[in-house]
Amino acid sequence: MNHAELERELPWYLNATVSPAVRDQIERALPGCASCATELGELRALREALVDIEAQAAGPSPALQGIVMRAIDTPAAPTPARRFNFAWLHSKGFAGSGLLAMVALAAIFILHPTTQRAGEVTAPIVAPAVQDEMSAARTKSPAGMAAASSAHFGEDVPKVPAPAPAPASADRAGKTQRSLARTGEIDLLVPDVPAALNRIQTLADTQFGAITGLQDDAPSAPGGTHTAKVTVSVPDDRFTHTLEALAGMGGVVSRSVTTEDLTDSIVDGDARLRNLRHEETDLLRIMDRSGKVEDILSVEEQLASTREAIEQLDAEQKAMRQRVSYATITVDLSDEKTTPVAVPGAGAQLSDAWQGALHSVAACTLLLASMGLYLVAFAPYLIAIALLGYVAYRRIAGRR
Amino acid sequence: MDELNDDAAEERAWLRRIADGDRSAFEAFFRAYERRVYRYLAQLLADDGLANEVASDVMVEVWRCAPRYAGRSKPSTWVLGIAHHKAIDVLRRSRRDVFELRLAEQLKSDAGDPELHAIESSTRAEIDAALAGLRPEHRAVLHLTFVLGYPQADIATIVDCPLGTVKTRVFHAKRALRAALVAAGLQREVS
Repeated sequence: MNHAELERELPWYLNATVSPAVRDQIERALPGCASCATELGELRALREALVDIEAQAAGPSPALQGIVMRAIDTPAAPTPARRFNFAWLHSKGFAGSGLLAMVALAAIFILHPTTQRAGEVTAPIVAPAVQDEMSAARTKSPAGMAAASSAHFGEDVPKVPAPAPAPASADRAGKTQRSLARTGEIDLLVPDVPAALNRIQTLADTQFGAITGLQDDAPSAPGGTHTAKVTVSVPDDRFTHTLEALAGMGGVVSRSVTTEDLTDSIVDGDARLRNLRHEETDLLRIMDRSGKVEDILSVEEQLASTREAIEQLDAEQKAMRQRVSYATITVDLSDEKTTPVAVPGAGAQLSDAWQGALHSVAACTLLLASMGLYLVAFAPYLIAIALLGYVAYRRIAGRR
Repeated sequence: MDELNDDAAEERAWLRRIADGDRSAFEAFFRAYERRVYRYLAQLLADDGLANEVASDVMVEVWRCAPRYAGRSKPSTWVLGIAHHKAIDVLRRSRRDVFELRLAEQLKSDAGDPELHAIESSTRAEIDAALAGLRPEHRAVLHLTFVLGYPQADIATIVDCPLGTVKTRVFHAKRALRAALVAAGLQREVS
């Protein structure tokens, strides 16, 4: 290390953070180098001055902590939109960037799954739970397809074997980042209700669930119908497969799936709970500071009320999370020997046809609305292309 | 050097708890860093009000980004790095640095080889006033080196530049400070 390099190490020699090797070099050089000694003296004076100035400097505002604590309790606000400056449109690089953007847009159109499978554009309109069922049925067997497609029209379906458990991720595919509570209902005609109950119990165990409700109505007189109602709770990722397995236990009279989106309720509840807990902390601090008995009693009253609200809200939040984690399936079992399956009459078939027509109209309307939304979503690209065309036109016109 | 003797392990534990949403850990962290962050920002921005605003942003950023703290640097280096970047963003937006750059360049060209003992012979008030005329990045490295006592590597991490640049900045910061003090002394003698 030469003299100039050593001199540049002096600030850190002074604050004792140089390596031992550098420190030794400096200490060997210092006695014979007047300029280094002068520089070190100057640096020492500078450090003393800066430390003195720092010691006398005012600290942060006393309100800073309060501001920060309030800020961390507030969800992040969206970044305000900046005023758009059109000057960059005339830059040299814009034409190239525009061309790249067009190529990228074309690539997105070509490679995007929705453009590759234009016929499935209505798929997102269907509820995720129903999508799960439909996709599971499509990928398994024609029988499964029939089961899934007829599930919402109350038709009898052939029995399907219980599917092997699939990875949890497959069930979750349609539910990313959302808190969905799913419930299912299935009416079954079974040859033997007690045997079916045993099989449901085994199924609940193998799917890591539990039977949370049971009502068994055995026939009180000869010739009566044995019925039972069972409520099964299973982890949400086992929902579809449990439903399929239940459908395989007998003739499906009807089946329905309901999905409730609890995302907003859970997020709002968490925020309210957090605020209530802060309020509780603030009240405790006030109570510590309060001297008068009536003040303490008043704060205590408020504290009790806040704690009650916390407990209530906490319980509600836990219940909601439980509903998201565990799906519920209600199974109605009937002995098939005494209750024949009703064959739909002409009126019922006409009603089904009317329902089908209404469903098609709704699907068509949603398709048109989706296309409109696609246009809105791609508007920035379309505007960029239009502006690019305009600038190119102006440049060509200018040359002429 | 006192600031460097903090218990980094305890601060890392605070950050882990902050990442889990622990408010009491955040309050402890806040109390430990409130003044250090604020004073660094006040030096860099040369504006106490603005320093308070940016310090508040920095602390909120700590709360939100604690899960992303990977432990590769000391917590103090990480926090001051956030503060540095936020302050530079503010300076860029306000174009304040343009004026200071011009002033610093002027001092550099006018002063030639500044008097060696300018710092030793100046009062605290004169040094404080001269510091305000330096470029923000020069004030930053002087503060980190002489007040907070950081090693070169930590300063390079905080201000996000190579080690060599840190040494060069400190060298130029001293020169600019001496030049400013000499100019102030001459002005005092004339008046």
